[in-house]
Amino acid sequence: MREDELQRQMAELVADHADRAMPPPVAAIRNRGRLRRARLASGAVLLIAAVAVGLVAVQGPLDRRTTPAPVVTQPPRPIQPSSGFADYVRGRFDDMLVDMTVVTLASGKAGGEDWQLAAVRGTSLRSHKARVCMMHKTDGRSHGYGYSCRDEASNRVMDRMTSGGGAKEMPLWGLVPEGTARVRLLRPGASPVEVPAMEIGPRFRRRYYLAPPTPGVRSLLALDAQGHEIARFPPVP
Amino acid sequence: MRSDGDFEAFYQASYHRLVGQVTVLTGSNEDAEDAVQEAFARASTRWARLRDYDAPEAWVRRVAFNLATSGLRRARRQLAALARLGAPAAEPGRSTDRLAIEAGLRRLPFHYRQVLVLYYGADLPVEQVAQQLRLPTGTVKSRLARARAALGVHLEEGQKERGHARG
Repeated sequence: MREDELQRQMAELVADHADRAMPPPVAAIRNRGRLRRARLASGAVLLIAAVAVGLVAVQGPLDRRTTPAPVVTQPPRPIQPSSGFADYVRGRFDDMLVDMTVVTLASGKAGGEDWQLAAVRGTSLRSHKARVCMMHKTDGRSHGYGYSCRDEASNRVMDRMTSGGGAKEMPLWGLVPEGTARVRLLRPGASPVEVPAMEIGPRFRRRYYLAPPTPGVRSLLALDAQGHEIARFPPVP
Repeated sequence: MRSDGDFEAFYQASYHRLVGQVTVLTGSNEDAEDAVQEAFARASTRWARLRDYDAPEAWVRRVAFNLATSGLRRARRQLAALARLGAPAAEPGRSTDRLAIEAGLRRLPFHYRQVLVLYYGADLPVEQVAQQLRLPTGTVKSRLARARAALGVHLEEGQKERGHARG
């Protein structure tokens, strides 16, 4: 088919469907928006409460010569992401991976953004190697998404911290090696923060961390159950 | 309440057009209307900011496309089951060409349909399609070329099948 013919037919198709559309009254649309906002607001209250409860700081000694003890905190995971998000993630990766397993991990609202987080494991169409990815999506000011992937075989490599939307109020998350029990977030001139590393799912040979908004983080340590460092970001050259 | 009036005018002016585009994308008028209404509902609560955008319609379209994408994945299994029951009956007043294009579009991967709808259906230049989908322009161009080629193949196959059915 010639390009101008395709252009004409597509335009007619769109116009044809447009003619059949039946817009509800604008008041109904506004009402739907208000209801959604109310639902999100109640979710935000839950998130704030969960973060506040998890932020019970364990202060380290005041002696300057000793390393400050990490602030132990819990990840914010007050709301389960929508099941539609798994479909969205699958759609984003369907031209990169096959034999996919998608696990939705967490969601919440922060800094005017609704965020959702998922992990994907699959076989790369290009390299035929197993890959593990972490993907986030934000709806709000930025309305964006982002992901990072690693070969499953490179298990000892640690993921850098990621923050959806780049807002200071957003949580931090990333993939960590399989044996990681805790993740320490290091901040120059401030107490480190520690969060537990969590299971993603049975097929995943990686774990992940999710930390509340923590300004000033420059590097990360993955620690095993005995507190030994097993990986760090940025990696030691 | 000028702001309210603005939103209503914007809604009335864009609703039909967006439903048309999303329907071609999803193949379902009901899903398209639901996605577009939800996108407008979200726009209504952000209108104070959106009204200053150069093209608030692009924002609503992006949200509606994203919502339609999520809905589409969920519905794909149901569609596969429906497809086994046979093609839907032709609606009166619709040309064979139109039905063939629709059937061809349904057989394309979703990301091909996206670029075709935005480029041909919404008449956006490649740069704006790229902006809308957050893709490099080179990717959009290559997807467009592949989508056109794939659609051409499906249309040819459809023609042959109709020819066999007649013969």
